[in-house]
Amino acid sequence: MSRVLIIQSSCSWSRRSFSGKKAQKNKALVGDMVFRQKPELHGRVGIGLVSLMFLAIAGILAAGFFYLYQVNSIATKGYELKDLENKIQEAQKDINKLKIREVELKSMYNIEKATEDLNLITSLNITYLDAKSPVAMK
Amino acid sequence: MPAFTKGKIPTGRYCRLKNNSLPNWRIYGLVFFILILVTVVGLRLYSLQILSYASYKALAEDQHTVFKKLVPKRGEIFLQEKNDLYPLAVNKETKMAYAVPKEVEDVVETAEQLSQILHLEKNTLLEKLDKPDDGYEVLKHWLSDEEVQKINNAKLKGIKLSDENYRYYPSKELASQAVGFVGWKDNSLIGRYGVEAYFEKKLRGAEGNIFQSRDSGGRWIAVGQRDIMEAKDGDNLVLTIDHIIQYEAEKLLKSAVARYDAEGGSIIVMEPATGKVLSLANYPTFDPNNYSQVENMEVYKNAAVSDAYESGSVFKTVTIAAGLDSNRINPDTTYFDTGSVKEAGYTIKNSDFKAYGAQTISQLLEKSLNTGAIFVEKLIGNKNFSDYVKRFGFGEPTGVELVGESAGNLENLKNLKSDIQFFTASFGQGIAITPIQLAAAYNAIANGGVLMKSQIVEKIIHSDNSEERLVPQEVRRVISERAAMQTGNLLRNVVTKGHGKRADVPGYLVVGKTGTAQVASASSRGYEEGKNIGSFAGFAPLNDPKFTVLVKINNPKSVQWAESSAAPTFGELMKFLLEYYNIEPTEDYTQAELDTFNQTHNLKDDFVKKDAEQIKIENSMESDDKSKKEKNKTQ
Repeated sequence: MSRVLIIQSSCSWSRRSFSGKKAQKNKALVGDMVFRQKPELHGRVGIGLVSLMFLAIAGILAAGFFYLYQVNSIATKGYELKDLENKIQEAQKDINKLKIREVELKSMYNIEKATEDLNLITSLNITYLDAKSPVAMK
Repeated sequence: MPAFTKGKIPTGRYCRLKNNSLPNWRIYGLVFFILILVTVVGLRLYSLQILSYASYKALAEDQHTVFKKLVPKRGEIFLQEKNDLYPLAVNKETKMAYAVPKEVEDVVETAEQLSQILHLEKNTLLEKLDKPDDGYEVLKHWLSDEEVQKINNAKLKGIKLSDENYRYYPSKELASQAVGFVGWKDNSLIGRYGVEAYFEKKLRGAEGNIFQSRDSGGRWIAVGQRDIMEAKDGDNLVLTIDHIIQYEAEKLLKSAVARYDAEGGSIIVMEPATGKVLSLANYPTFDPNNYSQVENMEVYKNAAVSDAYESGSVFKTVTIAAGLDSNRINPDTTYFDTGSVKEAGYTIKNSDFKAYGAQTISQLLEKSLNTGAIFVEKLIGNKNFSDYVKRFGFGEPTGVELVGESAGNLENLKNLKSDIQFFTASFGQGIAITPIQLAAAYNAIANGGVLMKSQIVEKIIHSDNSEERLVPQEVRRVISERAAMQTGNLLRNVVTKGHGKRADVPGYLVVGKTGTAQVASASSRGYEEGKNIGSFAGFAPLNDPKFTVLVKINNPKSVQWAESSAAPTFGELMKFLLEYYNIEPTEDYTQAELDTFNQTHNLKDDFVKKDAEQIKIENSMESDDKSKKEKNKTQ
């Protein structure tokens, strides 16, 4: 025995009790709408060969997509790696250039020119301190 | 089953088979043709696979594999600097511009733009670019960063850049003759002159190679065959030369040559205890970065080790040291100076043509008397004297790690009966020695009588960062410690009372000896008229020698004697050395003495003034260039 409730345009139904073959035939017609009760599943569910095939194909497709994704990802990483390696090389070149520039600036010829520009003079008189006793104390 | 019977004419296809001979002929022709074809193909295959096997195999391998030479990095060269190292020769990465003429679209426009960017002649560029079938033309090596940027911005079709390395000497002419340069020889770049040549194998390293399979696109196959023999980078060299001392020595030498209107000169600074060369300066010199622009290739030579000369009175120290060591004389020995010595038809006089009467050995050195040196040589004996000269290292290379070292020339000492040769040799004439031999001999006197091997390399740093330190080597004991001490004391008198006064440094025990030598004529027997070489060799401080210094000035025209050219140069350099090493004065001195020294030893001022003038000239030239460029731009 079923009871159908219609509220505006939506509908739902509830079941008091079903058993046996009635459950298979349980139907309720309201206007054009047909409600069928889901069968209750009891016991073991059998998977057929076709299902297995579908599963296998799905698995293969998934694996294929995963493989493609991985390959694509690795290829992209490879480019990124190559790009980074190039950047390292460029950075290394810049470091070498800067090292050479540093050496050029440390050259005594440059230092002598800088002393001229800064109007520095050569110290002609050097005094040596006697450092047997402390030269600075707290 | 059909049958062919006699008298019955076959019909249909059987008729065609039997009576018509044309089909047979076609078959035979076809068979013959196939045979010919097979033969031709066979012969061709034989030719390709047997006769030309090697070349096609190589061609195939070339397509499927890649073989590349791996070029090692050339070792770098460093100078000493207080608690640090200063790179003297490094490898600089730069770009080279080249053209692919067949890809150039507008030759005239491209040449015009390149001419402005690379500062090259437009006509030269046109010649290179106007070759429609040409695939490669070098335009310019070693581009500056600015040039590279301009080329990239211009985006000229057919103009490309490639990486290239070259040897760069950041300090330009500093120690150029000691380091040498890397230049072309027999189609390869190798070290030329100096340590670059002496240590060529170590600096160059070892080439490697790589063998790798590749696919049809030329890409390397990761899982394919790969054989790699890695390149071994060259060893780095650390020289014993000190950057600051070398700079100071070169600066003073350059100023001295200019002030005394000389042709050139050399300065050597050595460490008495070890024989390590702290400075090896020559003038004139050159910039190894632009070695090809040198007009006279003689400047490539390191005159301090390769040019033997008659040293003159500076050699008397060796004669006196030999006399003291052999106990033929002592510091108080006296002799009577008559002003000249006659031998074998020659008359040898003192340099000042004076006679001084009774003189001690100390006075002999102070006044630099030729007659006194002959007196001592006579006491020693020709054979003994010759042995001492050789024991001091003359007549053989010192072993310093530089190419082209001369052994000098002691030929005149071979005939022991020729007294005149030994007499002249006693005061440094008639035998040829190199500046480094003389410095090494004074070094032996400074360190107590032991001749040390001259050494210019401190250590070798291998590519695996392991270090090989070159240990100072004792060649032999030349004279006793006592004789060395006595000689040192006598040389101190030369500086305080004799011709070496201007070599003295207030507050320190500086010792040494002057030498003004005649120059042997290159074209005839005898000596060049009006030419001389002024030398001063000595060491300091006498009580604990730290530096042995030799100053040699070639043919100074504004002064006559070494006491006015080499001696003051020596004094100025020695003062710098003692202060640079923070060696405290041991002797009392007055401020007046120091002021006098500073007034009379001012070669450095010349250099600074000259340098400043040079900078002003360069700056004015640069500003002129800029204003011209701006004018051109505005026009």
